[in-house]
Amino acid sequence: MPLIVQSDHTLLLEVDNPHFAAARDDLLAFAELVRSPEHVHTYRLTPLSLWNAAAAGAGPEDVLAALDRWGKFSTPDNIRTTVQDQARRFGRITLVADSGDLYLTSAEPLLLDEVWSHKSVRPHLAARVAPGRIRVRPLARGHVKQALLKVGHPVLDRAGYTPGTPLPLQLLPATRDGQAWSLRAYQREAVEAFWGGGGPAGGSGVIVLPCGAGKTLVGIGAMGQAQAQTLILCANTTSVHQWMQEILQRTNLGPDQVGEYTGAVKEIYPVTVATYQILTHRTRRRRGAGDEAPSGRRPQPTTAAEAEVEFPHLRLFQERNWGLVIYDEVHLLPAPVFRVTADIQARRRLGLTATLLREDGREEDVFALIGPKKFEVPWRVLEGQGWIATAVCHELRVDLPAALRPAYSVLDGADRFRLAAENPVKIELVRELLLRHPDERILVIGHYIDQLAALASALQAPLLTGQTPQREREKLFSAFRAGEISVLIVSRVANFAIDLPDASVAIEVSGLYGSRQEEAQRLGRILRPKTDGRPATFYALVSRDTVEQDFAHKRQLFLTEQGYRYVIRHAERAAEDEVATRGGDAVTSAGDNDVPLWRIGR
Amino acid sequence: MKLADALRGLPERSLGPYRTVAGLPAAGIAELVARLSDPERVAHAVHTLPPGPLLALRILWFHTAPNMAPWLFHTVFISNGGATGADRAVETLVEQAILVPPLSAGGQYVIAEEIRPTLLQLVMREWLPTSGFYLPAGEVPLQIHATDPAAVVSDFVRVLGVLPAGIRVRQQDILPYQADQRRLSAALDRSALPALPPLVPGAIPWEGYAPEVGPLFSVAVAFGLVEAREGVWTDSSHVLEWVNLPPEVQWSGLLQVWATLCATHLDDPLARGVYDCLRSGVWCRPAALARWLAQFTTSGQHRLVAAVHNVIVAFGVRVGALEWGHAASVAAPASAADGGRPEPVPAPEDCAVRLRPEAAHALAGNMTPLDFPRFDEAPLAQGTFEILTGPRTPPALVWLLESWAEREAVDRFTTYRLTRRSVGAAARRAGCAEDLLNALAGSPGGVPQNVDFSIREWAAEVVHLTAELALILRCADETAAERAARTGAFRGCERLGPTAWRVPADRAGTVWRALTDAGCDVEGNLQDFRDRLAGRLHRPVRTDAPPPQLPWPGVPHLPLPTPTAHRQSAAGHGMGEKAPAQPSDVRPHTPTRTVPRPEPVRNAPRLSPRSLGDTLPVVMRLTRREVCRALQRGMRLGRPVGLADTAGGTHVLIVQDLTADSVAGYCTCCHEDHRLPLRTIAATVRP
Repeated sequence: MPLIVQSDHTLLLEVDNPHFAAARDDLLAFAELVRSPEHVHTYRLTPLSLWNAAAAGAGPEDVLAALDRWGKFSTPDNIRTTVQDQARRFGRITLVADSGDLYLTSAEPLLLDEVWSHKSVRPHLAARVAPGRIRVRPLARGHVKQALLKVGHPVLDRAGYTPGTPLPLQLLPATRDGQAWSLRAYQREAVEAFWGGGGPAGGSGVIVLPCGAGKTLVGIGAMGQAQAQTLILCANTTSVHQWMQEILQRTNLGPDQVGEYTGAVKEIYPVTVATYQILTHRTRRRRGAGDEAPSGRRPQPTTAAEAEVEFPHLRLFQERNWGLVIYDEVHLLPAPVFRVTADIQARRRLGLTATLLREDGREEDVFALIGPKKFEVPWRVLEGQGWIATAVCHELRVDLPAALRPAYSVLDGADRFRLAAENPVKIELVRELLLRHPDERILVIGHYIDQLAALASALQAPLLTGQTPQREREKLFSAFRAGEISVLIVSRVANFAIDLPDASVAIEVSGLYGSRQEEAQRLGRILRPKTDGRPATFYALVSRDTVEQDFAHKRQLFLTEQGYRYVIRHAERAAEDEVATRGGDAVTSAGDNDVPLWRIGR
Repeated sequence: MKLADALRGLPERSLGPYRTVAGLPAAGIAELVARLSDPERVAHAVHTLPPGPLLALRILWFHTAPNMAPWLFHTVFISNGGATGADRAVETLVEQAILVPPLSAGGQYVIAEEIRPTLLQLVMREWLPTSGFYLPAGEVPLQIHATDPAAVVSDFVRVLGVLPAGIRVRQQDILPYQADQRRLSAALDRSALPALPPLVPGAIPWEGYAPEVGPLFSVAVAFGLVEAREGVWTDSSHVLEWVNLPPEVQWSGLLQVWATLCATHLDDPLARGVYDCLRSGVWCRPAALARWLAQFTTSGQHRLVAAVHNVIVAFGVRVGALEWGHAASVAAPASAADGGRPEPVPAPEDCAVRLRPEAAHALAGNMTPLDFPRFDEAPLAQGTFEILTGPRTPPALVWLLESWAEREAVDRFTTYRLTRRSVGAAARRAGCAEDLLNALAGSPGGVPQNVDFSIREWAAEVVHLTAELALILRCADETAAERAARTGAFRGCERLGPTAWRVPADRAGTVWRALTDAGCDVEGNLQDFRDRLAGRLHRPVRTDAPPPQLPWPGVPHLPLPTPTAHRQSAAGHGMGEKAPAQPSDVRPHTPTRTVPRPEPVRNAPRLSPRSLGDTLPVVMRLTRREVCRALQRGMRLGRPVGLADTAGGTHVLIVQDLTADSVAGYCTCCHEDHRLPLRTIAATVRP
């Protein structure tokens, strides 16, 4: 059997075991995948994961049966206790709708008494109408769920949804360009898991798919099920345009039915695609007493009404009777949107993400307000099925020029990091790498505009930053997709949701300290499957013996935990290493190439 | 003697389990049998036993105490702890009238009287000459319940009709009813044995050690680490030796005892029971543990529970009660056990145990492997810098990982994580990265490239630099230098060039004297060197000693270099401006008055011999740690460390050398080089 159940709630799963795949499929339902390196994957049982499982219909008996079935050893007693205790918490309190009112019900009246007297829950409750039944205040559906989750009582929401304004929508059998298409099997499964037959058990939740797995298509599939007006929230304008383009390409909706709500254009159509940025755009408030918190920071709005005053575009949620709200990259959902989402719990909500991991640790809010995880496929499965490209990560170390060392030694903090990140030697190394991959589309990604501008100048390659007008961006992306340009230098704006299927090489010249999300997103840019089956190659250039190395190590940990192969080389010695390890850990993934490279530092 | 004959006559199949149970090698059995025939020879013979049999005998007898010797005799020699062959052994002994089975309602029986003197002599005079008694865990209640001589006599009379002539029942002769009833009844051709008699009113409960404490103690006894006296534990001289051993050696010793003693007892259900009970790292009352284990044992195996208990405590073993009395000073500093509580725990009810990772490995390793993954024996290194080890990972490898990686989780499989800090720390302790990489080479798929790269990189970040104080002696020319070299005075010194030597500070006096004795005229004087040394340390020094001036006509002077000349010389020998500062570089210190030797430090602890015995191991380790720290921090090297010795004296040492048992350096109080045994150091004091 492939599973080792440890008493600290971790589950170790052997990858090379013949029962690995079956056991993994079972584990995904009730455990969080923590790490998936090459040999042993680590899962963890958490209250949230068990509640997710319970929400999906897997009770404690199912969880324990799976652990017993795949475990090498007997399941520790404390694990049994935890599973039984936590999984049974979900559903002890149910939220139901009755005659227009919302009620918390439970078969355990004492439990509701406890809830009633809890000071963080009490403000959202209206009255105790009977033993085992409490009326919830109007519009407090999301807040009461949030509050109850925080005190350890996740609520089973069976209050149902408003259908929203109908919008007949059909998925076309072929795109408007004439290419046949249909949802892949896992995408169909994801849509069905989310929709849940249209009943109150479905209709809200999160789908977790790796970058490049086609989350947009899952969203379109969900729209096809909902047949209602839909609000889609994305990370940036480029992503907005890609959503719109996909919808127009693959559905029978026309341009007069799909609009964007961004900084540049503010259209509200039956299908509206907006950015988080515009929703959280603040009004300029008149300075006055109370505007400034003692700390000097602006006070945060505490209610949805206050939030809408401060963030006027949040009214978009109320502009139409949306039948479905799609949150793309849900792990980036900003706090004000959370607050508004608490008020629209009667609408169906779909979260799409590659990772449930939030840098701010608000996974519980995602669970309470968007919904439990409904479906997940690990990237390794999709890689095995050929839906996403195989990737190898290389970290190349370069020396910081001696002339910069004195300056580096006296700087500190961000300046020191920046000096190391902007190491000019990297420009030469990028040039060598471009020679190394002559026939591939290459993204050069960086954090500092000055450095990217220098690169663009040195390499005679186009530069795309936040300052680049949207029209110019689209033009560059189109040229890149068409193969008219093979190298594109991009800043952080390209981290999210840029669909460049043919990019197979990414060179990261500088990163945002140790941000794991950024690293995953950047790698995700090259994970779309290539038409010729080429593997993707990710280079991270790091200045040796500098603070950049430490941050690179953090990013390295994240990538290896995701299961990517990671190779570290000194740039000037990489050629020798390559010769020594040719056929094994060879640096290149583009096949044999006798071009004499790696001249840096010689 | 009949016992010896009986042992010789035992069939091999009976000796087999005995041998494995007691861990006594064949040679040991032969020795034992030979010596049993003549108790008078035992005293001498025991001391001349080879180490193997001696260890076996220790293990064999460490359970015992004078009044328990018969019981032990029964358990080990006769019933074999319920192992196969016990019935045959009993049959043999009964047939030969060695064993008299006066079966009674209580089921006790006694050893034939002719055996008793031999046995008691053997036990009381030879192997436990200074021992009092204590009770190992598990047997205490039975002992108490069966220690009424009147009841035994009554049973004799009732069962046999008469008390056998010559048998005088004393308390220490009574054997508790401990054996497996089924086996005994089969051996003695009786249908069944009656139940134990109830506790006789008025019987005095045994005042022994708490069961929770005994097992660890027994292991310590097995190693000769402690001796038992009535109600008191005292450290033996072995304790200090053992405490000073490297942890690996300490543990391997305990492992040896455990393997020898319990390997055959720790059958699969039992090991699994222990493991299941304690694997989660929770604290557990030993009594609760024993109850848990009882479900895995038959009645004849209760002793084995105790044995397993010993293992847990000795090997696992975090025992709160260890902080009770001397055990704290023995076991805790030795890392044999972690006290679970920061304060002494007088009441045995508060005792608790839990498994250490080593014990988890060991116990899990005794279970029948069901379906261990392939990294069970070899560690599994992943690209995430995690290393997973299974229960059967060799202890040496576990120790290696313990020193190179941070332990993240301990359970059936232990997770370590390599970090820059952990690798750097191991490298600073003179660890070799290649050792680690070689150890990890067996990992399935080998060591991931990024891990290999990082280990080497992190280890290489550690640069070993040693700063030391030395005297540079330089001759005016090469001819003079050769003549000086021929005097042999520079033995142990490093020749820096054709005309210069580096003399370690602690050999300065010796070399200087040797040179002057040989007639060399050394310019400068030793005291000046020492004064400068002391001046560098900003310590007052004594100036009343006259400088030695022994001329050697016809031989060129060996002048001490001036600071400038020294720097030039150093540069000429490849030492740059960054070369360690030399004594002559420092600002000269000109004392203006004689400073008396410092008074003994007042805040040095006043220790009675008894309390000294209590605290010495702890203090010693603290001192060592401090001295080690002083040595490891290059910047602190050469600064004085105040040490109070057990005789009340104080030394302010400029530490130059530290070994496992001594510290050496220049004492700025006595102005002499000293090497102080660590055992004589009572405390560190502010210099």
